[in-house]
Amino acid sequence: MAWKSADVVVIGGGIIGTAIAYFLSRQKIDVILLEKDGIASGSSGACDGAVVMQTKKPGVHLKLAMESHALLSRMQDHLQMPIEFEQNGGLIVIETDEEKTAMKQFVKAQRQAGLDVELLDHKQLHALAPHLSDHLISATYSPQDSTINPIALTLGFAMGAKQMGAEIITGSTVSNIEVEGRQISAVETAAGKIETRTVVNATGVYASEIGRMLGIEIPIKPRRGQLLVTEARPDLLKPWLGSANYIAAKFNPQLAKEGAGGVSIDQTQNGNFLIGATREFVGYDKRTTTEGLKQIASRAVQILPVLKNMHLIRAFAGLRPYTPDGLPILGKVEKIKGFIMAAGHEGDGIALSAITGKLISELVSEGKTDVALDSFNLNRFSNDTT
Amino acid sequence: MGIEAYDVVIIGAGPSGIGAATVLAEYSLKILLIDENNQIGGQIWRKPAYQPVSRFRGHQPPTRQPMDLSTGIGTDKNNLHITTPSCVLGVFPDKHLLLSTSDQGVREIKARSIIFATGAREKVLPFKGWTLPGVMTLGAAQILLKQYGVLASSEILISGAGPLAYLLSSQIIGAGGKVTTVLDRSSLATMLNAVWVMAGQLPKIGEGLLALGRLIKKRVSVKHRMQVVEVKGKDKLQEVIAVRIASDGTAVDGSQQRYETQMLACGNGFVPNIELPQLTGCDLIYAVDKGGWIVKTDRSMETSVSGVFAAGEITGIAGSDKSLIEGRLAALSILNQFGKLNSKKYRIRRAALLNKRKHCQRFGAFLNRQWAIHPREWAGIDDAAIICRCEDITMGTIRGWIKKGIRSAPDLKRATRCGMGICQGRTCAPLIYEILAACSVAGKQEPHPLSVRTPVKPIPLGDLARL
Amino acid sequence: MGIIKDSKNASGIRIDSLQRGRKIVFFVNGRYTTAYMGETIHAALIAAGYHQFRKSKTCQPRGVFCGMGVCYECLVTVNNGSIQRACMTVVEEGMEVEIDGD
Repeated sequence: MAWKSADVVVIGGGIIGTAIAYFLSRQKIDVILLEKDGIASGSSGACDGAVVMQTKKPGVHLKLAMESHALLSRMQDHLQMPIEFEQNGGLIVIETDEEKTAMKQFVKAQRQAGLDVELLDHKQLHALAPHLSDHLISATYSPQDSTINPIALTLGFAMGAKQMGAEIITGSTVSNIEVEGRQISAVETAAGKIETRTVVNATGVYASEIGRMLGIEIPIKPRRGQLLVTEARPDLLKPWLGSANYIAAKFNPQLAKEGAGGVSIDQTQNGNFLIGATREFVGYDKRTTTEGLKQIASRAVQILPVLKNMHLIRAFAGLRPYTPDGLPILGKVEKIKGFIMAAGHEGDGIALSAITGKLISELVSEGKTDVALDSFNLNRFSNDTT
Repeated sequence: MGIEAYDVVIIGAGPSGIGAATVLAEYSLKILLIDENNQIGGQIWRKPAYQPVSRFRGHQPPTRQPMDLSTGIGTDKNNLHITTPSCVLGVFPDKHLLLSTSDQGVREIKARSIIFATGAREKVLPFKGWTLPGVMTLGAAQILLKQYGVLASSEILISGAGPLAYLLSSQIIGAGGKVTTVLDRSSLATMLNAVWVMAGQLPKIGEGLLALGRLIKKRVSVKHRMQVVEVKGKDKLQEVIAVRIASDGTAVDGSQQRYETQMLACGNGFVPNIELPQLTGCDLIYAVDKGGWIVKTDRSMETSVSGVFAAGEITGIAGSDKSLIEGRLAALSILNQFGKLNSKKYRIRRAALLNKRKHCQRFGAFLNRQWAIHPREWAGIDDAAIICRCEDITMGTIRGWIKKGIRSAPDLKRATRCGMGICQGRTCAPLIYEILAACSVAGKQEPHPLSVRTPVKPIPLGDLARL
Repeated sequence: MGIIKDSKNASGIRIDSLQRGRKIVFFVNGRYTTAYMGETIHAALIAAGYHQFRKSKTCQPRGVFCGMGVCYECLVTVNNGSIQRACMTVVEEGMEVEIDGD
């Protein structure tokens, strides 16, 4: 006897899973969301809220990000939870001439892709953010860059979905996924079996565990990001800020190793500074380290000296779902009918949440999507697609 | 700079930390005693502040430590290092500690054994307006008086239960101040019962009688079973409203009393400071008659983490006598583990201390029961009362989320920011646990307290950057 | 130049029976204020009649609450730079303390 049944079961109550459940419910699709712990209790509750376009690869990655940004900028009208979406622009600060040369190229490609971004000189930069260290020679600036409260957004999606009829079950771990022929037939949990023909794997860093239940290899692994939170202060920094070697760390780890570590700084609506982050492969270890804290603190103080006297009130680490090519895995998995992937966003989960939710709900309801998801399909990692 | 290594690092220099240090200092061990305050002595053995402030002196023994009672610490012990005011920010694997000092910045140290003797903080049952200047804890008023000779106001209203409320009243009167009224949460019968529980602890009874004598002499009115439910004032306290609480936790109709006062000192017992042991991974248990979440230890005071010990209020609120005993117990256990005290001698000394501890624990359980807040009392708190003082989160907001289905402290924290402020949840977390338990069907506690993160106390980013 | 004043309608009182350190002067929002060596900022402020030390996130007045470094309600700005707990910071000669509300 089945415990429950639903058209779609979404596994994972993080930003991606809740966004999908939200957009599915908006289409009146009957959905159950299963979360093993609490909503936003994993990576989505341990990250920053960057909805930053400048850090995306020009191409389909940036295109998705811009569409997602447009959706998020209007999301507050639909959600009860205050999600603190703020379009305060974003800065990528530049410390050396080499960085400047590299960033010039990057800006050119981004502009061609339709992003509003420009290179600021020293004077323009310090007029825009007067507390920044004088040694920063330049910066790229995009007025489109925004930030959001990731926890509030995740809760907002979950509550919105619930209001439109979705069932959200927390504290429920999936133990198995049943398949009849090549078609998904049910999801098993400790509380009982849920009959369904469609399962969305939105489990982030745990996506490979779910894949294993179906004999599918998913190349997502956890990458630790340590973050610092300071006490709240009145406005000191309006735009979101990343260092040029943050971009390097994101797209070219080799390059990042040579210089000082990449850093991102954001003053939240509450006034706290959120400073990140390390990028480390240490399995599922969510602890912070003295080296990590020291590295982030010293880089942040270099870039924004007023931070020196501010109290660090919290440090934590989140696990980002890393994929080998830095792009998420989205769409149907050919081997099993009814199995859909939506994981592996690494540091872009918040920014890409809305578009991921929208596309996956389209995929479920219409069988296809507006934007072609080919370059995000799982089969890009495998030669054997049958 | 290399990482300095110690045989034993004792965190907290109150009765338990000092108790441990005095025992250990007799042996050739390198010991570090750390305290966040300028003076050693903890909250209970506070001394007037004019004494020279002790500072960490590297390998030099501290010369003039504020001495107390039976301690005799620090005068001629080359192996005992004291660092104040210093604060442990984090505990990492292999007993590595991150220490923030006032004169040497942030540095790393390591220990063969650690004793957590981190004591307790005061708990206050929230009421509407309790954030107004002029409302402080009993302990805050006592520190001002004992350590700095400052009476917070010419007239003070006292609200609370247990010895501290009476002790403070007596101290205020002794210093020439005026206590307008004592609002005692417990009944007269409970007070008389206390004498019975304290049987065998003559000094305590003596202290109590002295305090009561002073109150009677000054005709201080003592009202029993009263609890403050609201205070008023523009920028500062002006008026206190209290009601009589029935045994079922509800307010008695028509029992409302108003008091005009500029200063209210209030307290509802104590909460163990478990953050560092929790961060270390020590097992915790929830015990109402011990003050809430406490550190689990065996009879040698060792926690679930090998080589890590806990002593004093963090293993159960029971006062300084128990703390002193447990500090000594932990020290003896370490000496035994290090092979400096043979097992036979160890067992004899341990048995004697454990026997003494029993009386203290009984007294502690009595006090904690007296302080316990009836689940229904939480229902009586005004929606406008702030629960999280850092983020200004009200009881009404919390109730709203509970209505929406939130049942766990981490979920509540994420939804409301309750506990995310600069005090790191120290003030509101214990309240949240009780509010959630009071709302749950079985009154059940959650399996874990809210997670604790490095740094355990806030530090300037610049200090961390210089590490 | 600030007005020399020791206390403003002082409701806090220094008792006689306690021996004190040397008398020193510090500044509260630019006002000369007396303290004694070894006193914390919070004790000196209370003795001088200051009770509101800062405003909370929603602009409510706050002052000393726990008095032992736990609650962070007594935060004040010291010497134009760092924000410190008044109850844990010893007042020094010539120290400039900024409070929000007096």
